Amino acid sequence: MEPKTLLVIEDEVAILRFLRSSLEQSGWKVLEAKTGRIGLSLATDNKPDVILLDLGLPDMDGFAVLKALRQWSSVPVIIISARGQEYDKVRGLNIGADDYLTKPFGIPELTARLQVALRHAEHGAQDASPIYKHTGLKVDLATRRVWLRKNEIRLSPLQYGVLAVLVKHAGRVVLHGQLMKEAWGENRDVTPETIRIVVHQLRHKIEPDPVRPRSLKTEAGVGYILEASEGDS
Amino acid sequence: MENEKKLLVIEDEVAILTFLRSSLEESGWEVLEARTARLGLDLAAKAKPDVILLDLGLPDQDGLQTLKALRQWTSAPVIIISARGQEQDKIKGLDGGADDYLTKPFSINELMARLRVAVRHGNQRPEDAPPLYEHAGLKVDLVGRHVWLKKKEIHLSPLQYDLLAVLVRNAGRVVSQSQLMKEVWGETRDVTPELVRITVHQLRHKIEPDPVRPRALKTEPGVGYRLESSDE
Repeated sequence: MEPKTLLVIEDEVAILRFLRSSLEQSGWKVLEAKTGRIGLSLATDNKPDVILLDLGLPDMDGFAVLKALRQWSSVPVIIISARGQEYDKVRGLNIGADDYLTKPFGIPELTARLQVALRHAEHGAQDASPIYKHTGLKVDLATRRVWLRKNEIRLSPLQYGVLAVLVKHAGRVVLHGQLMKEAWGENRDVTPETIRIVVHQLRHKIEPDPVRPRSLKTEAGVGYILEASEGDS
Repeated sequence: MENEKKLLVIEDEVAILTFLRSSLEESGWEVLEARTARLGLDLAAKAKPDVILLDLGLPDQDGLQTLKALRQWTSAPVIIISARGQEQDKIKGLDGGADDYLTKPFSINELMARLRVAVRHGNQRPEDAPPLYEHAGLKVDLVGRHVWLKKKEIHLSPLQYDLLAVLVRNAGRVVSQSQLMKEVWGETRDVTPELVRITVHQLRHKIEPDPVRPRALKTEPGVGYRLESSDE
């Protein structure tokens, strides 16, 4: 099994050390961020499988970090906090945390909750329904067919590959690096420019008005997002 | 206004049931109650709740068993509510397929926040396979854990049943060997592809009229196994 990546956004060195030593033993790759700002940037660059977020960070309120994350990512977030007050728990869970663990906690419980988070992420990523539909665009991943307003359209293998990656992550931002990796595989010399060109070609085929895309949006400086499929609530 | 969400509470303490009902109905939940595991499993299948709250100390069955039975056929979010606050219990519950674990006494506000999280997760989950499977004379009831071939009930070992249940949940789709190993045997390291083959072989002798020409449980060479889709 390939190791899962955990990002710990936490400023207390003792806790960081404790988490790292116990979790690396059970096969996690642990990334550390001691400020909210670094945490957000690591979350963007490294696509962790789960994030542990402390609320008392030196530079930002933990809730603000969570809100920022939820702008573009549905990665499972478990808040770890010494604040065990109901108000904090409710607030954290309401703005998008998946779980809330009050310090001090035991590593076995944390590990069990991390596994739950992975299970949830798995569901999210599969995004079950293989038919994607949005504003006239329809994609059937099972048969590799694409329609725009009921007319079947033909895509080059590369265009289809990029679209398929975006469909798999519909509703979520796909970073340039991720897109390259998933659509082109590891060892090809593909540049961000290639991606831009393919996306441009793709828009001319799948968007009624390619200049004002309604499905395939650009997230400037970050990547692309295909709007969530209709009918998925 | 959001659609009313359905909550199933499997719990035998009347005081807690009353408390939950009054507070949750106020905030728009439809609350179903079951005071035994048996009733709970039954209601879960019939009413298809959005979230299930499960007490561990039920009169007729250990809650962890109930959880295991639920997980045979539904991925509906389950939150365990229990007075047992020991780490060991939490781990068993979460590893057994619960989505969350709340120790009694808990505050209603925290419960509601965790219910909302469960609804978010529930929205993303794949739809449950219908709990009754039927194809080519084979009939499987995932809720009651019964299997029939041509109307005659047949008995499977726990391992054979678990393997069949995974295939039923994925009926019509190929299940890879490694997925079977993981879902049937768990994280144990000492399961081999050979063991999967043997179990499938045994299973075919029980569920296929002609085990050499399987009509329901097909092999996809080099990939895994596929149980034909259930008849409509």
